[in-house]
Amino acid sequence: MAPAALRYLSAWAVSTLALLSAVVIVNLVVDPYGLFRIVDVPAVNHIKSHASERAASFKHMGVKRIRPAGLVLGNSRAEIGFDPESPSWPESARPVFNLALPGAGIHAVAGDFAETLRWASPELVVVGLDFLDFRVDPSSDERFAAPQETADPIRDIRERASALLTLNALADSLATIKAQNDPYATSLTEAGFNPKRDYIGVARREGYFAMFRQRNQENARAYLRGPKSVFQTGGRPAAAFDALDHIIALARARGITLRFVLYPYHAHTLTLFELTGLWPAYEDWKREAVARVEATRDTMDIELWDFSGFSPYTSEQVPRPGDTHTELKWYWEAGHFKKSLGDLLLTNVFDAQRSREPWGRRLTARNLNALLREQRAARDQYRRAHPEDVAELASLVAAAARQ
Amino acid sequence: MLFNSVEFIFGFFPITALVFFWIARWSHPVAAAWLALASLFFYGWWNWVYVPLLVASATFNYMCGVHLAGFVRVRRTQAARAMLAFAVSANLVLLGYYKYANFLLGIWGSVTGNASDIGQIVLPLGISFFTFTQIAFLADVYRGYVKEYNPVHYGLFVTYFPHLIAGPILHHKEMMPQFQEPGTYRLNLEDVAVGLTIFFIGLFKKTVIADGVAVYASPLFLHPGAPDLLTAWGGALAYTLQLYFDFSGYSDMAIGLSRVFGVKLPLNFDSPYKAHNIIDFWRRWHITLSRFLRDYLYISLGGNRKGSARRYLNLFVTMLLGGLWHGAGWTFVLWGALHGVYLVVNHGWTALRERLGQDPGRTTVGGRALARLITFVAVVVGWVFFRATSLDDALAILRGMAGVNGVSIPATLATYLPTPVSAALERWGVAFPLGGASRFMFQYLWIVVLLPLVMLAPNTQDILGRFQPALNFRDARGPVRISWRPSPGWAAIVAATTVCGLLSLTRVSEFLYYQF
Repeated sequence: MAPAALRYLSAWAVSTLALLSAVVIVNLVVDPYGLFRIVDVPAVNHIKSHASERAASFKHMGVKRIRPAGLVLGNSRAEIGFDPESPSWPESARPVFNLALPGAGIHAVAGDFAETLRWASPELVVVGLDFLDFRVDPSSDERFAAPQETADPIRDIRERASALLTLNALADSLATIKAQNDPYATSLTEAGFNPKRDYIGVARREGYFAMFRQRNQENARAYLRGPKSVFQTGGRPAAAFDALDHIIALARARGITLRFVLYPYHAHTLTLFELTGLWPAYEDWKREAVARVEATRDTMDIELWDFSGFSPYTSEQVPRPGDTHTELKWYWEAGHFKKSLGDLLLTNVFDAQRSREPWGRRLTARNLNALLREQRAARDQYRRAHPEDVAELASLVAAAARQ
Repeated sequence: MLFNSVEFIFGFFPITALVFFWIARWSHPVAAAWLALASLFFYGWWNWVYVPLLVASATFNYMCGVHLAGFVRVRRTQAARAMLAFAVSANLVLLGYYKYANFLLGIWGSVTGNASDIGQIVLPLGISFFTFTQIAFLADVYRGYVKEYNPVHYGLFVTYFPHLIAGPILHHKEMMPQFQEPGTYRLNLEDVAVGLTIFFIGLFKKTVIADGVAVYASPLFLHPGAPDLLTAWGGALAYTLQLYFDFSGYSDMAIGLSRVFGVKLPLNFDSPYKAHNIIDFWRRWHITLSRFLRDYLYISLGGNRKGSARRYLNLFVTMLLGGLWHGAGWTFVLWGALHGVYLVVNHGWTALRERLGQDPGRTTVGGRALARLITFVAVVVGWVFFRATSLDDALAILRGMAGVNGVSIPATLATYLPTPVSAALERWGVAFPLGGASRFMFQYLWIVVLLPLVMLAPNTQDILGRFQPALNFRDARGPVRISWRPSPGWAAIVAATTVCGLLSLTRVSEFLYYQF
């Protein structure tokens, strides 16, 4: 059998190499994560439906390529809500790139910012701040460690190799080709914005009520189980505030204009804060954030904007169960606002004078307490005006507590 | 070092094999020594600290074996028995210290109320396997079965990297002759072709299938909660498939690697989920462990020589200890006990049918299918104990599998059902929770594709049957429709399998049996 075995082994080796080469070529051409950018063909790979699988790589490559003057940092709320193509951005900040990453806490945001500054010199940075990132176990004693700014060429090589030589990458390449004709395919734009097209399909099939309810169920569980303080041992603020300071220091050192934005939580989310006992910590968070920003206000161009309270926008009414026709204008679900609300928010931050719909407040030490009082009153008013919504949310909290 | 790693496939293995055959051209003993040294390097890649332990264990057992053989040769029975008892005890103490010390101290603490432990002990990789392999060697020496005492071959027998970490558990008598065989030291292209084919089928099983389905098993066992019927069965079946493809993939890889050197390892898996009763299952699952437990534990306890009641007790005790061998935990003990009960019931049922004048071997097609289904369900229930991290978790999952927590279908999937169907399901109490549709769908897709494969398709050994892929391979099972041969067509199929396996190496994960 020796000659037959030799022929077999030769054929196997050649076939293996040929197949591996074919996989590399497909992944290189389709480029599902946008890492190589060799061709851009509408019917093949224009829509990067699987870029979010490696959103961090996709976006850091984008920053290197575009070298933006304006930058968005934050988590999925910012990724979905702030469109770099929005007319609300000032001219001096263009081109804008959305570097926000789903699930990114403030520590990760600080790391992404530091990494970005190696490649780009933005003039303006908008950072979305999420109260939930700042919660901490009161008995903990965490310290902030500044992110390393060293280059890691091995990591880049590995990332590119795995985008060419993995079965997952091949599956994503094939799915990317298929997604070119799918109106509801997920995607990231060249500027890093996630238009959340997949939510359009879900909303039309299942209705907004189901989307809100699912998010509220998840939030009720998470809020109930998670920590309910922003201070740790000895009353020391959470290490997340030090990450905030680090972002400020990076911006100040480079003369970058900084705009912190407290996300516009939907009224359902705010009500869940109250029902799960998070409201006091939520107010503490604002007080501490204001203190951090005020401490550097005289040395740089920095502002903190609050859109997080009850307002006509954040109180957008959720359709009834089974209603698959009503379209919401401002929210996808209680966790994520739409680009329309993001545009309005940015207009109020950058050109409040000209905004046809004034909304949001710049937070300072002087207006903070008055604003907190206003928001408590607005919260009570919402409870009185929307008893059914509040009862529904209370039942979700009770169900989560039983689990 | 893991078989499913880039450094092993493209570094360690080809270099070891090429140097071995190059040295073997002028010295077989040096080539064998090279293979043993390379195996120690393979073992030390994980943690060098435990290499001296492995070397000391092999040296100690070899010395004991030589002395024991001397006593046996001159018929000093008492001395031989004492020597055997000493050597086996030393092995068990070593294993007991690393694997069971804290477990036993925990039991002692709960009995006496004085909780204590001796700190965290890192379990040396493969200690259960190389300890059992050497206990079998000592027992075989005592029984006069061992004929060869070449120290280099013995060292290679213990450390031989294809089996070192997770088996198969080898018999001295089936390996030593192969290390003596001159043909082993000549590069044989048929062995290389057969070996690489088996290895890459195993790699595919591990990296593509086992690791692929694992993500649908882990969440249930990490946080069982109160799972509904489909969630509980989905997770339990996913784990059932993960474990099979993980361990049989590993065994295929071990058999294939060894075959490249011309050394055949014993068969370790033979389509266990095709078993039609639990006795049959244990003849197909982890065959070399079953063989060890039968030859060195069950028979030593008296086997079936002391009446049927004692036989059942021996069976139960053997399986209980077999469960404990897998890990120091009550869930493993319960898993072993459960299989002990299964085996007792199986033997009792067979005896009852014989007493009623029936032939247990004769059954209808329907009866056979029912027997396979019952066996499979019993095995899946057993795996729940095997995988669960606590008894409470296992019972929570089993309650879910029994339907105590109702039935749920993700609401998104329900929107695709015709309205009368979803309305009827709702009337019957089926819940439609939000979220989890994609996960649910892919979980059952994996299960629906893989279950027929493991229950009906020929296995690696069947496909390679014409080339005697393993020792004790039963090739009298009739012709197999899918039969490998060194043809261009098979080269293309195996190349596709190889590419899929290699392209999945980025998500490297350890083999499940590495922990045992």
